[in-house]
Amino acid sequence: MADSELVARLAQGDEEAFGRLVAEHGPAARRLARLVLRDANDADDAVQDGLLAAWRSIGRFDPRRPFRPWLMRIVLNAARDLRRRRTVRQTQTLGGDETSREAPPDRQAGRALLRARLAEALATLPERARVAVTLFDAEGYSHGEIAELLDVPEGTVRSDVFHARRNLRVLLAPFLEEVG
Amino acid sequence: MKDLDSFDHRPDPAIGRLLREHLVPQDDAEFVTRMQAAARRAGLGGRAAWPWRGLAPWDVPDRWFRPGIAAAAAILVGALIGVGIVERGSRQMWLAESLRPAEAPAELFAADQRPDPQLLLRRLLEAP
Repeated sequence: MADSELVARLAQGDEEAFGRLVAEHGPAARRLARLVLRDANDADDAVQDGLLAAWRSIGRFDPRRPFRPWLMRIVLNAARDLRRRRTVRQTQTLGGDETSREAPPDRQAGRALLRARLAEALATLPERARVAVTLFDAEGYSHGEIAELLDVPEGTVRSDVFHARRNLRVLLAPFLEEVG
Repeated sequence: MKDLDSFDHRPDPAIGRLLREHLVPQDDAEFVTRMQAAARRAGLGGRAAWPWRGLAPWDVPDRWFRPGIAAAAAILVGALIGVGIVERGSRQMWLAESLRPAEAPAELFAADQRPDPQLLLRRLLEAP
């Protein structure tokens, strides 16, 4: 079902439509919030705030425009707002919540190591560059869409993506060789 | 990755894949359930509870349009029927009165001369 139809149903208070939109856009929203907050729990709280805020203001959404950028902007604002309100817990970084479940086999250990390195690499980047490179490379946004979302010029986004890629390629070189 | 440099305007598939796969734990279904529960707690959802939430300004008059037209039509039909009944009653009264015999036509028609207009008017005015 298309986003436009789900959004129309959401405007009528349809909880199932809300669930389907969360299933569709939730993962991207969570990635974005984690880039801002660098904490899994805080990020999910921010996504929750953002999703509920989006539902409340669904009447202001322009159905002629794509839904995801509109939602991402709300989630981004919610994440930034939460960061202002809370002291970000530094003890639990990105991806740290899956490493201690059981004695990991080699593969799990490798994944945990990669997640840790990725978190470290992302932590070296300013927030805007983290968001820009993730939206561009992982979510498929254009530079223009990211510029609109972050409220910065498109050239700034290009520069952010360039610097972020350069840093990530250096810091994640061994893993990128495997993936690439 | 080897084909792309940092200036490339295309998304980098290797970096993108790493970011997608490792930034979010695989609990999307649980997350959806959590969001739906949060929405219920926040009073969202359930059309009966907040039927106007999320509606555009023109949706409310739009919703009332058809019932409004139906109500107006019903009122109009009722009014027409009422007026028809009243008018029919008065017409029957008028017919009955007009068929009633005049009280003193004989003295008017039996006269040799034309009837006096004053007499006619007085008769009409005095009629009950």
